[in-house]
Amino acid sequence: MRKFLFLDPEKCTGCRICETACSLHHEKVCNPARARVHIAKWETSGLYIPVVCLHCETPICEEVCPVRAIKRDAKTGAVVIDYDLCVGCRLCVLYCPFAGAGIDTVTGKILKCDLCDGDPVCVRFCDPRALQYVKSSRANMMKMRKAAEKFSELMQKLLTP
Amino acid sequence: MVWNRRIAYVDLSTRKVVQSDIPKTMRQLYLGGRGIDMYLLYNHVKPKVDPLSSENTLFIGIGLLGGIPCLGASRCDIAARSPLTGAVGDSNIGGFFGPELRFAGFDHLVITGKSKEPAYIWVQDREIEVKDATHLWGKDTIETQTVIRQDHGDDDVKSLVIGVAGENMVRFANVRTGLKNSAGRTGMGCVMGSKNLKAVAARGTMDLEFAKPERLLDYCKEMNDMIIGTRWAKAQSRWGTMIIFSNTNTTGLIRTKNFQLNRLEDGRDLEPENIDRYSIGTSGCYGCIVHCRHRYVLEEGPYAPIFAEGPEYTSLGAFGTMVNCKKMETILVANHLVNKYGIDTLETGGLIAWAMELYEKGIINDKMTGGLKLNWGNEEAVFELIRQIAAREGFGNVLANGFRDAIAKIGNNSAYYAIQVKGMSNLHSDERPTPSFALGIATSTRGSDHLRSRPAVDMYGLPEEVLQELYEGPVSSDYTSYDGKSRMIWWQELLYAVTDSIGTCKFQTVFCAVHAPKWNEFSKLIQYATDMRFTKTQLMQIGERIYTLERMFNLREGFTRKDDRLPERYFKEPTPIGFPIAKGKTIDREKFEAMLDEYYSLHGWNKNGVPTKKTLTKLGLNKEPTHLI
Amino acid sequence: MTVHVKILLHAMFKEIAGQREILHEVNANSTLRDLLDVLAQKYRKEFNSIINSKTGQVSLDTLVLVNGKSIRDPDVQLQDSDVVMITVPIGGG
Repeated sequence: MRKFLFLDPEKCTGCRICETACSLHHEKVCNPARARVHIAKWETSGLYIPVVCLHCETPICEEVCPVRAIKRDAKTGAVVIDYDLCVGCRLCVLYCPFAGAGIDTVTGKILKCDLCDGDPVCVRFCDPRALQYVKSSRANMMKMRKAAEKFSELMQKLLTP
Repeated sequence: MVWNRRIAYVDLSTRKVVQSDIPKTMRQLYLGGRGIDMYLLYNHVKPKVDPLSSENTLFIGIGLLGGIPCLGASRCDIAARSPLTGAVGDSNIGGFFGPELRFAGFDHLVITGKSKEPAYIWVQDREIEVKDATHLWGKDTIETQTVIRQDHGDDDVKSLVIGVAGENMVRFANVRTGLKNSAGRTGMGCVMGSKNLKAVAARGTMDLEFAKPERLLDYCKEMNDMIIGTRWAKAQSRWGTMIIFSNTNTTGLIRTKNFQLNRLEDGRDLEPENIDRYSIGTSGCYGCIVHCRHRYVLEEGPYAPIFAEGPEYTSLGAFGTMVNCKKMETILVANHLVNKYGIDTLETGGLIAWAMELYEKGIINDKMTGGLKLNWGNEEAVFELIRQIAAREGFGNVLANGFRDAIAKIGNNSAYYAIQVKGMSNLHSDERPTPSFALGIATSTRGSDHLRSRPAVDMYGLPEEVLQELYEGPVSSDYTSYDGKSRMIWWQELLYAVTDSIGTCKFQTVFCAVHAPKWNEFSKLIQYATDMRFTKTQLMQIGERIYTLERMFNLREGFTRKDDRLPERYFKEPTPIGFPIAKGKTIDREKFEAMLDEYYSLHGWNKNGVPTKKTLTKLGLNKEPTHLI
Repeated sequence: MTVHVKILLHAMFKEIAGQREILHEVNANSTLRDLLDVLAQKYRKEFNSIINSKTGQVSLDTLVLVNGKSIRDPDVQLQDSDVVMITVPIGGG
C-alpha cells in the first residue's frame, strides 16, 4: 500500500525544523526560503499550517506541465519533476492550489517535495508528528479517530447536565 | 558558511551603515553571539558612559550555530551598558529573529548614536537601511510587528521591537519578538528607546553553508533524539517551564509575599496542569523540539479576549507567589500585559512584590501610591501598577527606574526589603536552602540572575561520582551543602557563556540533566558547521575568556567584590516553612565568603575578584581593548 | 504494624495516576523500593522505569524525594508520615 504525507496542523508547534532540515538535506545549506516545506503562520492567532506538495492522485501540476516533466515515481508514489525536461515555465507553481511547488530563490528552478526517496527528512525531524508519512489505511484511521474524539467531546457536553 | 556573515555598524545619528567581515580570529576567540557581543561591549563602549546617552552602543549578535535544526539554535544576544545596573547589559532572546538576521547576511549589528525621529532598522539580504518609525511609535510590541509586516507585505518578516515601556525609557524595558520571546533583562529595550529605535526588522533568503552538511544533519537528529528522550524534556514539552513550580513550591523553594514565605500554601491553581483550560497547544522557537510554551486564550473577564503565549515559571512567581495572587488567570493577564508593554516580567514582579511589603510595613502609604491599595493578592493593583510602570505614571514612575532609584526615593529602610543584587531583581526562587544558587546570583555579571550559572542539577541529589565526573572535582550531592559549590558555579558560568555564544538553548545543555549536550557535543556541531576544531579545554577557555572580559567591564565601571553580595535577609531571616530540608535555612556568612574566595580562585581572579596578570595573559586579554572589529 | 506515607505525584506521574496526592499504608519495615514496586504494579508506564533496572537505583532522569531530600538508593526504610514526592528532575529556573 502506498504511503503519503499526512499533515496534522493541530500538532505543529511552528519550530520550522522541517524547513531547515529539508533545505539542509536537498540543497546542503540551511535556508528556509529554499525548503520544499513551509510553515505558514498566523502568529497573532496561533495558527501554524504546514504547506507542502500533497502528491495528488490527479496532479494539476502534471496536467498543466507543457513538457510532461512531472511524473509519478513508481517506487515512492511521489509526484516528481524531471529536471532534464523541465523548462522552468512555472505553470505548476501558478496552478497548484496548495502551493506545493515553488521557485528556488537561488537557482530559479522549481522546488517541489520528492518524498526524499521514501524517507522524508521533514517527517524524521518532526517530533510533534505534525508531519507523518503513513500508509493510506493508517491515515484513514487517524482521521476517523480524530473525528470520533470530537464527536465524543460533543456527546459528553450534551450528556453533562 | 558563517565566514560570509558580516558585521554592520549602523550610526543612527547620521544613518550611515558600514559593513565588514568578521575576522576568523574573532570566531576562534569568542565564537559569536554573547562572546563577540562582550568583546564589542568592552571595546566600543567607553568607561563610565551614561547608558542613556548616544554614546552607549547597542550590540545584536546571533550565536555561531544559529539556524541549524537542533537544540533551539535560535538564540540572539543583545548587549549594551545596562541602564538598570550600570554593569554589563546583556540579554538573550529566542524565537525567529536571530536566524532571520543571519539568513539576511548578518551575524552582528553595532548600533551607535541616536536618531532624531523614531526609526527602525531594516535588514534584507545584505542590505541595511534606517527607516522612519513615526507610525510605529506608541504601538505595543505585538502591533508593531504586525505593522512592519504589513509595510513590507511579507508575513515572514521577523522583528525585535520595543513597546511603550521602551519608548518611555523604563530602565527594565525589554526587547521582544513574536508573541512571547523577550530579551528580558538589564533594560536593553530602554537603550533602544533612548536611541529612538523602535525596531530592528529582518528578512533573509541567503544560503547558510556548512563544512559538512550531511554529517551536521545527522548529528542534529542525534542531538534532538537525545534531548526528547529525557523525562525533563517530555515534561517541558507538555507543560512548559511551569512544571518547575510543582517541584519547588511543594518543597518550599519559592519566594512568596516578596520574601516573607518560601511556599505559596494554597497555590494549587498555579500548578501547570491548569493551563490546559486555556491552551490550544504549545509553540516552539526556531529549531527547537521541546516547545516549552503554551498558546493560550482567555475568553472571559475584563481583559478578554486575550491570545498570548506562555506563561513561564517566572510569571508564576512574578505575578503569583511573590505578590500572593493565587489564580492562574491573574498570571495569564499579567503575562500578556508586560509582554504587550515590553517590560521585564521578573523585574516588574520583583518591584511590585517589594512595594507590597513596604505598604504592609507602612513604609509607603496611600498618599505615596496615589490611592493604589497595594495589599497582598490585589490583582487589580498588580495590573494597574504594570500599566503605570510602562507609562511612567503615578507610583509606577517611582518604580520605573528600578530598585536603586526607588530605594533612594523611598528611603526609610526600604533597601532591606529589596531582593536584588547589583540593582537587578532576583528571580522568585528562594536560594536560602541552596548555597550554590545563592553564590550564582551574587556573582552573576549582570546582576541577580539565574541564567548566568544556575546548576539545576544540584537539586537532584545525584551520586557524587556523577558530579565528580561532570565538574572534574569534588562536589557534594547535598544541595544544602557548601562543599564544591563554587566549582559548580564556576563551571556552569563557563558552560553558559559558551552556550550563549553558539546560540543554542540553555535548557538543552547541562541545566536539567547531566547527560545533556555540552563541550564534546558542541565541539562536534561546531566542527561540522564551520570546520573549526575545539577541544573541551579550549571551549572552556573561551567561556573563561568571555566571563573574565565581562568581569573586566564591571571592574572598569566600579563594581568590586563588595557587589558580589546577597541581600541581608538571606543571612538573617530563616526560611519559615517547607519540607525539613528547606525549612529554617539561612546562608552562612562565613561559608558564603569562603565560597566566594574559592570561586575567584577557580576563575584565576584575586581575592578582590580582579583577574590576575597571569590569567589575563593566559586568556589573551592582557592587551584589551584591541579593537579588532 | 503499619505506617502511613503521603505520596505526591507531579508531571507525567500525576497524569498517569490521575491524582496528585495519595495516602498510602505500608508495613512498618517497608522500604522506598517496596513502595515504588507497588506503584509500578498499579500504574505501570513511566512508573515502571523509576528504578533503573541495570543499577537498581533511582533512575537519573527521575526525582524521588523523601521529605524534600532526593533519594538515589531506594533501600531506605519509610517512616510514619513521610512525604514521598515523585517527579521529573527539573528545577531551579
